[in-house]
Amino acid sequence: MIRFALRRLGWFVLTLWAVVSVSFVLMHAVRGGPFDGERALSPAIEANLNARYHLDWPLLKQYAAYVGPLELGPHRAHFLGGDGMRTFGGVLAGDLGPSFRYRDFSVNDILAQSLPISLALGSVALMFALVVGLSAGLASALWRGTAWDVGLRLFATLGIALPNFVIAGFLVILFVFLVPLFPVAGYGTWRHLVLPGIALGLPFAAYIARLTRTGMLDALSQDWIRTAHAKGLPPHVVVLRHALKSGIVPVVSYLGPAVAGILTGSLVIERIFAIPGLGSHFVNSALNRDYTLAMGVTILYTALVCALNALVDVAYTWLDPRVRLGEPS
Amino acid sequence: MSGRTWRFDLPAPKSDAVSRSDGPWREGWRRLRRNRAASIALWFLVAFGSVSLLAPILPLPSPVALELQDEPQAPTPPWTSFIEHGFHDEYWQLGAIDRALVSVRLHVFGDRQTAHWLGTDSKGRDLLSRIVWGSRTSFGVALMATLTSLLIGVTWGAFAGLAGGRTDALMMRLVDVLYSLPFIFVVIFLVTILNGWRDVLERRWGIDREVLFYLAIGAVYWLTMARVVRGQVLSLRHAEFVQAARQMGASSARILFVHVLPNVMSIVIVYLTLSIPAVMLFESFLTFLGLGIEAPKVSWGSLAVDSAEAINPLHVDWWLVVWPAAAMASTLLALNVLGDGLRDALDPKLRHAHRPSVPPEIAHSSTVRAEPAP
Repeated sequence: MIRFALRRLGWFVLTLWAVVSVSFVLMHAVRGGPFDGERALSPAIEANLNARYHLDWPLLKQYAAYVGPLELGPHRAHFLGGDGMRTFGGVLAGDLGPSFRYRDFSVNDILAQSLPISLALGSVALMFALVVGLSAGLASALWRGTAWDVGLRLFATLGIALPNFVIAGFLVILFVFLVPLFPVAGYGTWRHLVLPGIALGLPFAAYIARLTRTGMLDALSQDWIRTAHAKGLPPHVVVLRHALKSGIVPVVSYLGPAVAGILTGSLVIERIFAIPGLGSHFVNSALNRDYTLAMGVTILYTALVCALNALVDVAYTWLDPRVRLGEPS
Repeated sequence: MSGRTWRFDLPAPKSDAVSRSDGPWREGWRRLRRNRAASIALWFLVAFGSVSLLAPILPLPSPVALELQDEPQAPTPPWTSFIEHGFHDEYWQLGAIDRALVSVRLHVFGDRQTAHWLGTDSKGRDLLSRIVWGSRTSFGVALMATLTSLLIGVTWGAFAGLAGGRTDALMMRLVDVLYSLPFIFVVIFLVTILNGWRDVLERRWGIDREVLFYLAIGAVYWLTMARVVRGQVLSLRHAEFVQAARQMGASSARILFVHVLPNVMSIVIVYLTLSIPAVMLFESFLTFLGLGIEAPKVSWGSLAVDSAEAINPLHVDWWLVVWPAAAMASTLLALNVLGDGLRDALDPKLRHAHRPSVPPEIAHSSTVRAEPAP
């Protein structure tokens, strides 16, 4: 177990390092500086700005300053943070630097503001996907071959095929204009999260339903289920206590990619519903060449996804005793 | 080479059924035909694909000609007004073949065009024409991107599988690391960066934005393909017929191309069919964010942008939402159904015992360090 954790940690650090370095190089390979705007800046101003953010340093030195809390002498990057002048500590110190575009904010400030919003949206979507997907999958596995099964499967295939922004369009027409239940867009109350959550979660609900159905059908045909029935256990105990535990293993292994997908999907959904989360920040920052913000969001997402994948692996051992951690996984 | 002479020594197959069921492809085809949903999906795709391919000679209105007016026109069903005059020969920069097809269309149909059967968008552009022309773009991007990913994935996977040992472990670890990255970020990075160098690339190598776009998508979509191919190759490497070939002195290249790759093809085709809809979704996703296909060229992503703009509290132009969504949903649905059907039809796991069967853990996971027993 400890070996597994260490190995996992090692890969995690390596992945993060790769992400930081590659995105650093990529971002600096972009032509056009972060201060290009509608109007061309006068060379003097641009030089000043570059000097302030130390974009005039050699690339390697910039990289060192970005990554580590190394002592680079008296010329450390200083910037105006939310609470006065601050020294930029570097990624290793948990400081993602100043934002190039939102002049008075540090990346940490922006992430601290927008991450909870994205997490709230993501959890609504994930809960929706799990509840709807698991129950639909169970229903169609238990009533295999009936009209319910066929209908649910068709619905699931449709849900997988439709892009979430198209689903969002339909939902808005239905629940905002025809039956005015929810607000069109914006963020503030729980009612703002319902439609985006459903639109974001529906494709994943569909996929989970499919996985659950297959997994349950597989589990229900096993010998030990017959044994459980033969012991005289009531059917709901057999299904919920015995079959479900092995039937949802595929769903658990899908959770890692699903969470990653939900995070990704929120790029578009946040834009449609005008939710000020991480996703909209990322797209804008990449387009605006706000290096530090874009890299901050990427690092954060990678960390989230890696952590969740590790969690999923742990959940495996609990569900399927045959899987052991620590072996060359 | 000596396999041939051995064959002649065998007694000729007596029963007709045996000789007819020998080809795995033919058998797969028969299985596919027996699957009703997959057959319907196949025919739908063939029909839709031909319409989309033949779009330049069909009497459709121009997908970009503007008819300035205040708001979108509602659909006029074909039975009220079928054909009208007033075709404008306006397109984006078309290729030579498409241009020739359009001139054929001009000779045959003149300025006649179909009426706005599905309505028009807010700038008066015909929706049906935009859907059909958009499908050309989207299919094209999806095909090219998938082929790129196929090329990278199969090469990488086959090499790792054949090399084995440390090389294999290293190559697959790299795939694992890449797998844990949030993809969209990589693509958005790539697309933004390539955009910066766009003028240089266009002037020097004649690579336009669309090519860059599908190269970027292809460059991140090869991972699954690499894993699948590597798993298959790994299990085939020790299969009896491969060992027999090796005993007979076949070179590595010959083993790879003649014995291993043909056996990997079926699963590759399955993944290809399933990744085309994924790439199409991805294309519309990126175009939606403003990073993909650019106006005036139409793709399904740009239609989705239009439909998102059509939703406003003043008047809901339902046709701008419903028709593009219906086209997209039915095509993607058909591709998914066909892919599932192909998997059922071609999956070696389900076929009878005469093919080497692959345990799913090896086929689908790179992390199983398997040295299969000879």
